[in-house]
Amino acid sequence: MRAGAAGRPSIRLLARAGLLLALTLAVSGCWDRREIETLAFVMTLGIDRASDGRNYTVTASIALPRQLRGGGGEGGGGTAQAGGGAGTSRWLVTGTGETIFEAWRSIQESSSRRITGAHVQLIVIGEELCRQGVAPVEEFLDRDRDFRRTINLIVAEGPAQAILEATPQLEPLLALSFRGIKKWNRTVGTAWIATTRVERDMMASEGQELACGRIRLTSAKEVPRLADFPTPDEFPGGEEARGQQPPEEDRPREQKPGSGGPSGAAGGQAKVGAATPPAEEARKKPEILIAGGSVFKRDRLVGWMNRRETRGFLLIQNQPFIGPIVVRAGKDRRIRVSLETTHFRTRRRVLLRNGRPAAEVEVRWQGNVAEAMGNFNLTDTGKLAELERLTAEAIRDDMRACLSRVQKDLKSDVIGIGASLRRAYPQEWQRLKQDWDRVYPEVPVTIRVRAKLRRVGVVTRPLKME
Amino acid sequence: MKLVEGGRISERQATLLLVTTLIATSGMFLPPLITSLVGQDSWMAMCIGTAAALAVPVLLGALAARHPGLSLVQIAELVLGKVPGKTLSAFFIFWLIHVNAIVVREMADYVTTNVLEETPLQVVTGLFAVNVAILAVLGLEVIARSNEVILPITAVMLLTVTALLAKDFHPEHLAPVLEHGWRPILQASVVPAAFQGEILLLGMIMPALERRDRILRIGLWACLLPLLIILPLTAGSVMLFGPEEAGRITSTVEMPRTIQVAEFVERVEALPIAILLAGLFVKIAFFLYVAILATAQVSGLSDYRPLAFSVAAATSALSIGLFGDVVELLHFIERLWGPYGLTVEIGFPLLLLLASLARGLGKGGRRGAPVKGGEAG
Repeated sequence: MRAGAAGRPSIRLLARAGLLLALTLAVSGCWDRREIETLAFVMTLGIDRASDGRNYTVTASIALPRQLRGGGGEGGGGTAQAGGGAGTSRWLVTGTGETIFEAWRSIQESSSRRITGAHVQLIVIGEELCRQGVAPVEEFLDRDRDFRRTINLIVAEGPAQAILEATPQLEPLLALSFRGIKKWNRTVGTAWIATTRVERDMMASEGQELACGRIRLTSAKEVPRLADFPTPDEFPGGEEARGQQPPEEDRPREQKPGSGGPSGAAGGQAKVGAATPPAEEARKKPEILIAGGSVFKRDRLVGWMNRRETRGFLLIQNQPFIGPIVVRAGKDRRIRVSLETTHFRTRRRVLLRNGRPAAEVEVRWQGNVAEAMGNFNLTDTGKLAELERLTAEAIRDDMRACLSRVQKDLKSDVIGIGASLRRAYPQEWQRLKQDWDRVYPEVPVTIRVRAKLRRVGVVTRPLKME
Repeated sequence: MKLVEGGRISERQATLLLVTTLIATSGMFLPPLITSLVGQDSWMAMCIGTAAALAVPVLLGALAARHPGLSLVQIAELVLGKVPGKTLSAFFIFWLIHVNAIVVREMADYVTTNVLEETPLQVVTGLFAVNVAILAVLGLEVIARSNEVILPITAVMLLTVTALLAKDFHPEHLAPVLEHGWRPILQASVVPAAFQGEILLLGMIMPALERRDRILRIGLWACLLPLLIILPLTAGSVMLFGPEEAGRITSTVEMPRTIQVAEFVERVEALPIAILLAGLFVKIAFFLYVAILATAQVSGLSDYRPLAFSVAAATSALSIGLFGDVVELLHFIERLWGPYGLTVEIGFPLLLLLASLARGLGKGGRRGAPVKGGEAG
């Protein structure tokens, strides 16, 4: 076998070697080979209804790796450079199409590298598109293999394209800026930001409506005033915002806070050439501001939540934050005291009383004193107890504000009372769900808050001035 | 008479091999399918289906006790007679190849949808077929041993994925339990029963086991151990995505795609995909091995190895031709696979056992001595 039939084993050997070599072809995966330098990584995506009202526009913010290389290194120097040469570290391209997919692919027409959505971190949806329905967007993102469920989808006040034109000062890319803002918003607790995984879950769950994030533009000069609650950034005309208004109505224009810079639909490009002095222009450079939330019914945007309502929403939903709570203490309730949230836990329950649903929300809150504006001696006995009582009241008020907005005003079950009811009483839910839209706004919600203050900061008594 | 398989595998190897065979598909494609049928109660359907599938190892155990040292097709020839036995075995072989082709198609569809978008299906199935054919030629011992490497990695990885996602779980999604009563759950549990019933393959490797008296034990463990993986994935996908979205996804690989831990454990799904494909590799190779072994035994060949490449090619071609599109594939698995699979998985060994009892063959019967099958030519 071995020596005698020398020819046959060698043919077999050759055949085997050939087979092994052929198998290496399979290893390389040549067919769908994608080299990193042939790809264009989209970091942020803006999706709008086109101005003709029929088509969709997709705006992609594509990272320019060469520019990013300088900016990514040192913290201070890099960011300053990126800020100075704003707009150079990314490339904005817009595509239009009858469907979102077509618009998305049409971006390729002007890109030498293959457009890749696998690294998208943020998707901004224009307000008008949201008012007409966000379901097509979710469907598109869901079906495509590239878009992950870790992407954050957020609603713009006005067109999404304008948001993408913003050039953040601290980061070279909008997506990175967003990532940081999202991460650190927990220290403020005024924004609801969800991933598409959570959003689709909200949309698909029975007895649960969709709530998304809210993003708008602000000029660098404008400073968000947190202590000044409630902020006047509510959606104008909350009561008419029921979703039946004609889509032609140019809503973005009447938006006061987001205005200033290039937030108009076509205004973005037009504004650049305006005869403003360069220094003035730089100062007015719009920044993104993420606060509040957007409320949907089915898949249509019906209104906004402001900061305070959003904080109430976060409290009701047991979404952790370490943001401030401001109370007014003292005899005439003149002394403002800021409390810092350290931890809270919300338990919710939906009951049926004589066949009528009722909700119970119980919050256990813990925090520290962060600031006492005025002669409010924290070391006096009973002062902390008084503050705790006031804090509980303030927290309750925040949640009430949220409820009055989403439950009474917008009549959208974003807090999921229906979903809780379904889980607790599946049979009754089958009966109630037909006219849940009518039942939901009337569901009484009992709120109980227990606040506990643990620490008073690094000093005890307030500063005396004599 | 020459034995067509000389390999011997241990009790543990057999159990692990069968576990991989079960979880390769039922861990990947089954949870979303069942969730799409019964929503948040899918984990119950999984348990009920597995319980029903336990009938298969019980039947195999009884057969093995009566006819030790014989494989299913050999028993068939013995208890039913030459022509009916071989005819039935031929159907069984067709079933093996058919099921294997479906598995290949599931794998290939997954790969072309998620990883290699522009690669033709034929290329994926063709290359896979070559690889599994090589493994099948190398025999049962090699399949079992390569599985001993792959399964622990698969198990650890799948459980790690579940653990990393646990912080994103919403346990309330599992309520309400029994929202629509028992009926839909029982109906849906036919599908996992058919998946878990693939334990029938044990019937073909019974002669190769070191301990031939442990068939029942191996079969029961191999049926129940996969639950340790399948249940976390089923309940986990519901808790992660909610019942609606968990029923829309095509495979549980969507779960690792959403992992986000501490801002750096992200985009880790390449590893799970590779590992799950390795599991499918073992499964398909094992199915192929069993199919060609059965063919060799039925047709009286002295060696099964020459059949490997041709049957692998046929399987690959069949996998393409069986279904025009993914929707047909899904429809088949959802509606037809349950009854089709169970008919063979329970019907075949049950028929053999009844025939054996009726004719009083085997140990404990009137005519004691076991007869080796496969002498026809």
